[in-house]
Amino acid sequence: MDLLLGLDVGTTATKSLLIDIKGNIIASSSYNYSLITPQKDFVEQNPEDLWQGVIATTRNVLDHTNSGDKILAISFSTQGGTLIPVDGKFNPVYNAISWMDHRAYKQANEMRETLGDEKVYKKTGWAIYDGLPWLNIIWLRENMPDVFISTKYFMFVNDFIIHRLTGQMCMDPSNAGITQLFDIKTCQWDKDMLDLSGITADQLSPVQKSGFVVGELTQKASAEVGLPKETLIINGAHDQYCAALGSGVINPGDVMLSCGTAWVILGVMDKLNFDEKMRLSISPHIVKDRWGALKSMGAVGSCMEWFLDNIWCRGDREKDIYDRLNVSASESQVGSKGLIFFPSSGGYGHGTRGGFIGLSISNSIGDMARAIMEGITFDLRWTLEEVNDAGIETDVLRMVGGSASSPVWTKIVADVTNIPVILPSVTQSASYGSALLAGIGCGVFDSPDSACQVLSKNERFIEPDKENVVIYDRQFSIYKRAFQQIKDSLTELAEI
Amino acid sequence: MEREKPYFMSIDLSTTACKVLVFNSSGIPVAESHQDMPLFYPRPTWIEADANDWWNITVKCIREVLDKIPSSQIASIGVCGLMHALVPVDRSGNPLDRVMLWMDQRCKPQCEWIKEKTADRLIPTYLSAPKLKWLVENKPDVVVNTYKFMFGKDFIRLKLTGEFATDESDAGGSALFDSKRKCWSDEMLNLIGIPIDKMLPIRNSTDVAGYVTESSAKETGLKKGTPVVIGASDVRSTLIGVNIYAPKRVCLYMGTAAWVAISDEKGSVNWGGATATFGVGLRWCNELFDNSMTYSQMVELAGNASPGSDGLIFFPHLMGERWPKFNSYAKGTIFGLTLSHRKKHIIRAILEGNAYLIRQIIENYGIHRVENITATGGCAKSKLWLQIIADVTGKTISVPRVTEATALGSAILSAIGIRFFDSLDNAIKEWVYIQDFCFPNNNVKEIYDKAYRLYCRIDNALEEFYPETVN
Repeated sequence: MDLLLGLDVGTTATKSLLIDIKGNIIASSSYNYSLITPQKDFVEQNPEDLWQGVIATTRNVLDHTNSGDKILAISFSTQGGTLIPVDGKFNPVYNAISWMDHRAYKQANEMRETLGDEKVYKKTGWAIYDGLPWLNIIWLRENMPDVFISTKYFMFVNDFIIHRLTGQMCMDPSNAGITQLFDIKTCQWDKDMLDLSGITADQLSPVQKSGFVVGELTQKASAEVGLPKETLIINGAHDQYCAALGSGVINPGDVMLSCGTAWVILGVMDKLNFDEKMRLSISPHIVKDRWGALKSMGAVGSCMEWFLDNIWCRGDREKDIYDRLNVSASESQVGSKGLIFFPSSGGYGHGTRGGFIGLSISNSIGDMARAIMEGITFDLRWTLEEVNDAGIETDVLRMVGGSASSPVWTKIVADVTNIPVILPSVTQSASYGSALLAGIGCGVFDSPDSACQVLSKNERFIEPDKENVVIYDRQFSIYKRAFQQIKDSLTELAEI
Repeated sequence: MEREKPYFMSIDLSTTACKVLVFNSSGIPVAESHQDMPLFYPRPTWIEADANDWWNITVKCIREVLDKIPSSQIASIGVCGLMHALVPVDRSGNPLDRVMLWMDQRCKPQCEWIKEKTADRLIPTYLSAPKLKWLVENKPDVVVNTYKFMFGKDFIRLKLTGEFATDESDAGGSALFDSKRKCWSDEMLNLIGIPIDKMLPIRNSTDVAGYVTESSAKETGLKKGTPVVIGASDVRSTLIGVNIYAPKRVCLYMGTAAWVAISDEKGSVNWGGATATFGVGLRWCNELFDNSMTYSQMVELAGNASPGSDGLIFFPHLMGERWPKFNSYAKGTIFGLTLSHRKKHIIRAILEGNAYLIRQIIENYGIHRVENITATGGCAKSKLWLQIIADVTGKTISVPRVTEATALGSAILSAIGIRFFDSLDNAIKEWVYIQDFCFPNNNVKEIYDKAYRLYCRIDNALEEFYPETVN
């Protein structure tokens, strides 16, 4: 049987997913690694951990194949914006500096003042942000000149893994954009940005489109991952874009809502449009002549984990806790009996303070659980208003990630936003998307559209309920106005 | 042989619990029992109790203290209880319906109606009149079958003695009482449609109402023929138990609810303010935590959080607010949450939020007019809570010898009833005095001043939204 392998090289784990060419899942595997936080604002990881993740999860799924099976191609979904400086022999000279790192905050402020956000945004699609490679390279040059000088190539996760497998240097547009060294209009490394960081284009991998056939495995890599040499290595993409492909978000009007620890919205455009207010991060999509607009709501999903860890205290934390949470939330009512939750981290325009408004003596734990689901979703609706204001249509929300498996929460998303929700049948959308990308690259699928044909089976469709929409409209209005009333006081709470 | 010294039993039926205490002849509690009362929340804003629970739980509490003090040594029994709530009973004293508790807010429309009909009267939801009006409109058959409407303490006394009666302090909290003529108001009763003969006869608080009957003696273990006095509402009993009638006293009652009463230079009493959720807020919080802790464990945990609860503020309006802020739509809020907040912060924030509200009441009266605050009630046993109130208000807290001032007041009434004391003044002189002080800590003044200002600012900002959150 012909098979395709997708590898999702993420921030905390690498996940592999093996599918057949009809889209059926054959096997999957996961390999965890940790972040290294040597001091405040520093977030790093060992590049060798990423490579070990690739080897381990590839070998694990191979155990589930039969003698006649053949893996045609492999592609990659990778964390974006993580910098890996290597020497002339492609050995790392420093830990990978994670996109979650904040060491370059001074450089970020300087650049905002001298260069301005808009210039960087309109070139790279990303507003100045201190976790991204451009500023981290400047930081290395200014603070660790020995590391900077001994770095021959500045690599990122996609090209680093591809080089380990093929010996070739190859980067993709969506991962190149988030480095802030790339002009997304011309799809070239940008000389101005390179000059500012003090490096040259020959220190970076050439950029090819996602789905480009990079080549075959080297002898050494073939032995390490346990695959035949002729297995095709296909250029990957930024994980959010692979997740978009893996959940069928490829046409204008499709919007992916990814609900993990962070909630991320990704919309599709058929023209390259920048958001005048720079709220959306723009990148070329995997699909030709499509661009993605991405908005992160921050780590709002962690509010529910906080609630489960600190307030819930009902039985075992591990054992079917989400089922019990859903039962409890469903025993409350639409609008949580007037209780409104404000997420405590990330979210629309506010800092780090959240709370509950409208508590009454008759409120139960289920009302609170449901209010948290609703409150995070109010924040989503507010963010969607911004996204729509920036020109992204939202006909339908394709919801993926942990919260997408909650029957209560998915309904709340449809009712609060008044937008139909589609739940793709595959939950591991990033690794699934990279497996589809492998199929596109090796010619099993003739286009992303036909790749997505394998998805449409068993999708679930949730329509907004008109009566609930009315209730939520009213509560959302309170949510916005109450937040605006007290937001100045909230920053002062941090001083107590 | 020397005659045995008498003991005085005091039954305190509060909203959330029944407490029975026995005092010795020096006014010191020597036996105590306590049981929580089930509350029912059939709909949002509805809060009910079952009068059968009132009696059954009282019986349990009585039996528990009689294990320590023999019934033969109980010289008299005093009763006091929650105000405003009325239980409809038939001729044999059987309850005909559940009791709408005073913080039940279903009767908002009836309040509006009464306000309209009586022009300028302020009728909050907790009073008895709008609740009876609700009953007339929604359960007319219950009204027709009712022999008498009874306040909590009167129901318990009825069960003990078979006598139907009440006193002025409870009648006065009904909005159905004519305080000038000292009798039920025909005008108000006519207005809401309740015949006057369904109301209880009003008698003196120190009168002996009757004696423990044979059947109730069997049920409770009390001695048949033990005198039971009329008693007073829990508020009146508390005021007696802290001697509010002395000049320039500020009394803070910390129970299920909290209130502040202030006496002027001449010793006449003014209300400073009241809040419906005080101790009950902790109980609510413990229910959230699946009742996994005792109250003392909760308070101990709160002691591990730092003053200001790391920027977490609780606004304790879980059941509306009545005074000085009158907003029956007010609701609770907790704001300032971060992912690093833990249970201890939430519990401490509840203690602190109530203290901010107390400070608001004191400031409303005039913070410089207050020298110190006398704290009583079940929650006054918590050293941490007293310290937080001292720190937030900047006032010294005086703690009386007996913090169960409510039960003490009711014991005093029962002792006067059987002529153990010849006057209230003499009883207070012997039984009521301050024993302890809790001083404000200057080191935390700055934090609490800042938190208090934020409390007031956010509280004002949110006020307008509460009516909208009603579902």
